[in-house]
Amino acid sequence: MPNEDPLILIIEDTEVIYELLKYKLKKSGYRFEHRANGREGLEAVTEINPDLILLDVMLPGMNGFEVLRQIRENPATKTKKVIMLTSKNREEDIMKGHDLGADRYIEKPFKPNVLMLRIEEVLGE
Amino acid sequence: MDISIYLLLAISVVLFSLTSLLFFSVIIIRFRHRRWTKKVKQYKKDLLPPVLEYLEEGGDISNLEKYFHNDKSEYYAFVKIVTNLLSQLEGPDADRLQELLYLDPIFDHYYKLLNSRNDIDRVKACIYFSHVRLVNYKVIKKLEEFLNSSNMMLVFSAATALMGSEDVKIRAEALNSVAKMKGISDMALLELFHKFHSGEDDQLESEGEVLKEVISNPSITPENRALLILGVAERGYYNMVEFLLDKLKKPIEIWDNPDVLHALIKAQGEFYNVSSVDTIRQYLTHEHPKVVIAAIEELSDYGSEKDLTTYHTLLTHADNEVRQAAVFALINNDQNESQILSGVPDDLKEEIRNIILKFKTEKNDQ
Repeated sequence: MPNEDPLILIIEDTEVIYELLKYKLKKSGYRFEHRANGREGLEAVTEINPDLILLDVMLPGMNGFEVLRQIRENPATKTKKVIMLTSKNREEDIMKGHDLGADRYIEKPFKPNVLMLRIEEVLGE
Repeated sequence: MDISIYLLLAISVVLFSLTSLLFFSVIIIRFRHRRWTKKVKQYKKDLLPPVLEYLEEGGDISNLEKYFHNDKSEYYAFVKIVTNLLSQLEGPDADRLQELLYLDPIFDHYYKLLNSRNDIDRVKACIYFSHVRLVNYKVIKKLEEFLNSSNMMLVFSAATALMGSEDVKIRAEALNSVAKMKGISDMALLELFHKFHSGEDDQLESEGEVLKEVISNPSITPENRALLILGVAERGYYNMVEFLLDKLKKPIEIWDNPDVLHALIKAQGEFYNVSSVDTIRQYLTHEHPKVVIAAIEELSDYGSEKDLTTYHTLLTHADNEVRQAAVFALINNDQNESQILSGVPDDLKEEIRNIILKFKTEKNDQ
């Protein structure tokens, strides 16, 4: 019997943030996978076919914008839902993410409950 | 046996002993470091779940104390987890996390380090206290004591911790102590200056008042004074506009320095203070190129047509960068190539043409 819980791919290199997201997602009944760098994250998008991607901007290997650009360029992944985690007061990051087609932005520092609401929102669309 | 052979043998033994000592010291240090890293990693793994659970479920904060076993690497790991999370979170979760830093075993451990005789321990304590609200009088006094240390790292760490004080005078004293230090990097001073602001805009006026005293302190190096002047302007301490303009009008003693004058001129531009134009104009003939360039750059935006003649004169200035700034100012004021080149001596014409070309290329690239 297929698992109906949405699958979320977390592409984030900050360990404590990943642990926090893991804790929250688990508690809310989501399935999740984690990758700590951009390149592996991009590969995982096609491999595991997630329902939603939580994508940090500052990543080793390949930054979040480049990951998003390649997701949008690939016909197989271009409709994937993406929430970007950007730094506060970095308006240019938000503009860049918007141009590349991110579905939502969460500015760091962030409120975990707001992030969970955004996840629900995007998955419900 | 010859005495020289004994001597050679003795030297060999000493050298061998020293080399062995060094070798084993390195091994011990590496071993201890590895053990410390391993312990911290394990503690982080053990402590993160209860921290996240506390964050999610709430409950009694003191329940977390049972996870500590009086081990300094455990305290370090705990503070690291909390401060890492704090740097990424805001709102009620961040407030609750902040409370964790006041757990008795943690606070007591770092308070002990603060009172240690070892500067490294003291710096560790300063880093911890830079993450908590400074309300403890004894802690503040101790941090203030460190401001007089000859150890630059300790002074900077103590000053950073004191930036958490609500008392603007304490923060000013800390900034002052660091600005007085010769050899402090621009980045470190600017980072501290950034922390000096409480974050509340209604504090800008009182902060501006104490900053006047800090910037006027004769013990501060001219480079640091200049840096703080630029910082003040960029941060928007508007109650300092007239104070800084007065120094530019009558630059005596500590204010009569090329770096400081350059910063004072740039600050007026940053404040958009049009009434400073006449004062800045006097600096177009200053002896130091850096000051002249700052004056040209500011007047180029806010000056009037009467400055065009001066810019033309400056095209023959001995300093290449001044000539370049003058060309840019003329172009900025809608002078075309032939207008700029009229009156320029033949031997300088090619250089001026190249500067015009460079300016136009840069503009097109933008």
